[in-house]
Amino acid sequence: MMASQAISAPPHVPADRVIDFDLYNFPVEGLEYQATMRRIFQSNPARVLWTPHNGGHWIVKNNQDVATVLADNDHFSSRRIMVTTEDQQRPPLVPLQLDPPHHAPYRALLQAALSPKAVGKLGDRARELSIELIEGFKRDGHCEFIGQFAQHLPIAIFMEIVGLPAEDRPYLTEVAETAMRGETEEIRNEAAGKLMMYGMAKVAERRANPGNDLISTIVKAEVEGKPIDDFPLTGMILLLLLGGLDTVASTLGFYAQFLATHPEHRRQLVENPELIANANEELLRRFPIAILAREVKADFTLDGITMKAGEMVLAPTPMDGLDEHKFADPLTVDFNREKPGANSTFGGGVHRCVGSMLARTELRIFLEEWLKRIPDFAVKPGFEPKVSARSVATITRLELVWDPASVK
Amino acid sequence: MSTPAKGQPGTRRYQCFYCGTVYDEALGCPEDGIPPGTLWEDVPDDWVCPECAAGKADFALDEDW
Ligand code: HEM
Ligand SMILES: [Zn+2]
Repeated sequence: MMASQAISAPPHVPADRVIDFDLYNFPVEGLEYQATMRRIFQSNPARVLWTPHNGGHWIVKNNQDVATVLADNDHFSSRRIMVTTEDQQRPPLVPLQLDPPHHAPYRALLQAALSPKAVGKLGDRARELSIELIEGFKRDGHCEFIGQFAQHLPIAIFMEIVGLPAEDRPYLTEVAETAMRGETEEIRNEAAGKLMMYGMAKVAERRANPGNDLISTIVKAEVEGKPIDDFPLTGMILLLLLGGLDTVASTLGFYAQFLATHPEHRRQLVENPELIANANEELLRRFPIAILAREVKADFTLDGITMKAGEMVLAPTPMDGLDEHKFADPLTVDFNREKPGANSTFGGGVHRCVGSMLARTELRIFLEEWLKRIPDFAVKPGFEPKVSARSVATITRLELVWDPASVK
Repeated sequence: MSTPAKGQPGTRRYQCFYCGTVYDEALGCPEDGIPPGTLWEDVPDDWVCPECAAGKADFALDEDW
């Protein structure tokens, strides 16, 4: 059964703004999640739309309005960040679900661990691991990209940051996947519960026996003059797990499917590896995976429409990178495009992704090390990959094939 | 005129938290109209990262440079 139930539009919603859009269940054309969403939103020329699905919510759809919703903390709160009618029984993700001024001190703790300098060291590890994974299957001539590569890399790096033992990797990968994408809210909540239990056990361990890892740093830290309570602490660890795993794995999936189906683009990067840095930004622009939402905190009028306090508004990050007023011919991937990186794929305002340097590094390393070794590959004939989406869009499985004789 | 020592005003480097882009005082950012030698303090507050559009406040001094 679909979780959302349609309700009729409240009186302050003009009929010409209503669109039939269910975020968790709209028909994606092939793997074109972002382009399909854009086409649906553009089918109605109005600037602000409203859909009755998922509790009923507003939608903004151009680069400026997405930026406004993300930047204006006086009118838009992160207390609720998903459109849904279901209960979310988990501790708030910290600092993601905190508004200023409470947000900053928690964020500062993560910032040091994810600064460009800190990421430089993690990048070396990410490269070693990428090479190891690719070398492990390149002579097979095939792989299931998501399970064999995309999920491994970010989880191993996360485990490095928080100092977790490598043998816990399969368990964490599975539970994190279920927490994000389990069939029902109940199954997702149960998995999130397991992650929290796991996190809290580690917190207790580090309290007794601190090390140099991020959990130890957070455990020892003070916010507003006192140590962090277990509740926000759990929310922080949960966010690090969920925020850093699924996003990178999902983005890698979109990168791999694009390259698998675009031989000229692949060749361009193999022949001109110096284009990879800009190509990375261009692919991030073209394939954003985060669909953000905010709770209206105080009535806000936009384009003659008043969004009322307590209502939800969707701020889809793809509507920035794919806005033709900001990027000409936005659906075309052009590795020579000027400044593709100035987009909202990593959000905006005070919550802009604290892991973006790490994410950029992991993604660039994938492009570099993969194309060096497997320059030619395709989606397995007959295999039809699918996109699944909660608040992050992802390709769930991606079977790739190549000629083992062509590997380097 | 003698060249200032490393880490002194005029030779400092600031790095973007989000994408790693470096603002080097010695080089400035001519494409944004900021000439070589422009001190960080003199870079306009509304200047944004040329690569990822993060704000000036998102840059931090590279202490090791
Ligand atoms: C391609 C990969 C990634 C994408 C597209 C992405 C996207 C985003 C977006 C859009 C936000 C803002 C959410 C909002 O405003 O509601 C965000 C926040 C965040 N991300 Fe990422 N992210 C990625 C990778 C990572 C990684 C690798 C980490 C950690 C290791 C991470 C940790 C976080 C955290 C902790 C926040 C909350 C920041 C705050 O509330 O101040 N992300 N991310
Ligand atoms: Zn930048």
